[in-house]
Amino acid sequence: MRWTLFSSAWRCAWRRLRPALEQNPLLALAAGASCAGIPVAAVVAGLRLDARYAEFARDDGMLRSLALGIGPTALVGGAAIALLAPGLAQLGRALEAAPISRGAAAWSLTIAPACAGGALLLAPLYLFAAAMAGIDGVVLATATATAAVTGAALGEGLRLCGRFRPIGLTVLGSAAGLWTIGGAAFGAGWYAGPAGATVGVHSPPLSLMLLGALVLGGVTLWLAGSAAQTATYERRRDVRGMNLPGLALPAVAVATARRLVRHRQLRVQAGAAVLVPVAVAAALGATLDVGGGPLLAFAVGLSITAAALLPAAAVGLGGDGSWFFDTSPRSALVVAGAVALGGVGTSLAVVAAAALFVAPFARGEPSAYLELEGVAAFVLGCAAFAGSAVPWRADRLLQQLASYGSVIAVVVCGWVAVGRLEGGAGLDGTAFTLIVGNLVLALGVAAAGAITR
Amino acid sequence: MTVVRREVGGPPAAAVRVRPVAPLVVRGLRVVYGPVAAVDGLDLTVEAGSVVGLVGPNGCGKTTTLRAVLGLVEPDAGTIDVQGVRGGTLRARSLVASVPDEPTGLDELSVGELLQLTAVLWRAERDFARRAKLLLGAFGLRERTRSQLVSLSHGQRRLVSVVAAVALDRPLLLIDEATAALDPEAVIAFREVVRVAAERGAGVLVATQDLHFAELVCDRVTLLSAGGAVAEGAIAELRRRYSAATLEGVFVATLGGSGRLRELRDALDAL
Repeated sequence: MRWTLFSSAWRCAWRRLRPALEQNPLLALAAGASCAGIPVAAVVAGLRLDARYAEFARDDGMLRSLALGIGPTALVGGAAIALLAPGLAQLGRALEAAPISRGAAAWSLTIAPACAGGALLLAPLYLFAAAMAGIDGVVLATATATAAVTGAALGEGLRLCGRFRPIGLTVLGSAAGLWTIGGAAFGAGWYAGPAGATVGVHSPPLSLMLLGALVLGGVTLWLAGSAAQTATYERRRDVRGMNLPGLALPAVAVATARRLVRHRQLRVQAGAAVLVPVAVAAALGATLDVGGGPLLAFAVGLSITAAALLPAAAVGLGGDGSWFFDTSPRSALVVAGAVALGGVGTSLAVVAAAALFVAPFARGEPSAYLELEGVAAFVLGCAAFAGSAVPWRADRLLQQLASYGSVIAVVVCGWVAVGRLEGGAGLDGTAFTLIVGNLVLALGVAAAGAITR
Repeated sequence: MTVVRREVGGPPAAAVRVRPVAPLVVRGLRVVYGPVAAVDGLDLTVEAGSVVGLVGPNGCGKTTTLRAVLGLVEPDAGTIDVQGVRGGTLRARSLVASVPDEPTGLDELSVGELLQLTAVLWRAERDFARRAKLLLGAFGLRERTRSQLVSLSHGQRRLVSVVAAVALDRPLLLIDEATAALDPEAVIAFREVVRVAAERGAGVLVATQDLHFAELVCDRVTLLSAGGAVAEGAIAELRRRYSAATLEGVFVATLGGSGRLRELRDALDAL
């Protein structure tokens, strides 16, 4: 039964994808080129960076910074995957009442597909890291995966606590304990969690064994947390502020923004994109006595990472309303562009709110804020483009994972391409980031409109 | 709304025949999905002020026909004119109001927001809000304007899309699966709304499997089977032609001969 459920999710995903590939040879070509090109590009990039990494790895402080960078980011990513996973809703109305235990459903429809899909997404990271740093790179990639699994368990614990279920405290506490034990075991401090393995206190085989044990613990907790969840029903809610602008483009954009912040799963994500960076900034500021520009950049970077989901989700939500938008006498390009605009507008508002609340803990120079605006615009422009190719759908876990993967791939490719231009542009770093970032944002929204229509 | 149309190749300019253009004229419509012709050579006219029913079993091409009129599927052959405008264009869409069979999605918007968005996208006249308010009251939804669509029942959501479509007051009103998910009281209210829309001059095309509803509300009916029309005409005329007392009798006489009922009975006996 577990295998039937698990394979059904993959079969459905493939059967949705196949007609799109058959009807659009360009898309099929791009998908094929990506499948073949990304692993090769990852290996080439890793080999090019191996000398620089070897120099970098000689500095213990830099390795600790790396652990601190990837640990919380992967933790937040894992929590987001768990919290946004649709679970039984994937089965649809006809099967959601099937007599399946919550544990079996969670395993077959969330955990196993997420792990399998996550492994596919992590494959390029493994190749890149292994080419760059050999066995140490494998440890680095495994540490990232372990932090993500711990994040998923933490997410389930948070969800249970949010529903005032006492068992939530147990799951949450155990996940936090797992994180702390990981950090302590690798001698990199509690805050680094399993990502502390990158510091290299233990030999790589021992680190991999410890990480394996932490993954097992994380998956067990994730399963326990998922199995303890109960069905929830949307309560009747009335809304305020119903007026929409009188022009089509702003009206659709505002309606999309409202849909994003009212969506049950996405409003949690939007809230977390503000609260988590603030909490991280407060915790790191208090315990490590760090602050200023680097902490601001790290905290706002977390917010940008989390908010990058919203443009892709906006496209998915726009698709849900196709019965309405497709029959309207407005150009499909205008409607799709307005939907993309609503998505990036909401994301920018979320990131701005995070920057505002992080400021008391990590205040930066005005140029730092400008630079962060440019980075946010760049990432969100890429996310709008990637999201229009693979929209995020609330009821499809594998499509969610594919959407995250496409956003990451477009951001990384864009970052590399723009990085090559920086030297020849003749602008200082802040001005370059600001101009290029906002240009990418405008292009991303326009491309999203053109692709989605 | 009356649009003047000059017939190509008609009499000389001084003697041009002027007549109102029908809200919908479909000629030789053919839509193919892979190896299957979902609609095959369909002719259909909806005159202003009339209600035309598209009636037939599941998969006979009713929804595909409506989607082709809306420009949501590309016809493989045939022509569609909406008030003299080529079907599927943005201009044609602006002349059509539609009620889909499954108005799901847009869950997070409130009833009022959906109606506002409808008014903005279809460039509705100022009177839209007044008409929508009256219709919401008629369907018992006036207190729900601030409710999110997700909190409404399936039937209530259909009624909201009925309100939006009828309040637009367009020359052509398309309704898919007219009575699906509606309670008896709502069906009666809906029937009246459809009649009033036609009396105000709109052409109404209703796709339905509810023969009783079709009999009460439609002026003419096209019976579809396997994508083609098997019978077409005024209901009284069809009843006379097939010596049937009701539209159901006409349906059985024209489409019931497929042997499906007998097969069903055999299958049920074998259970």
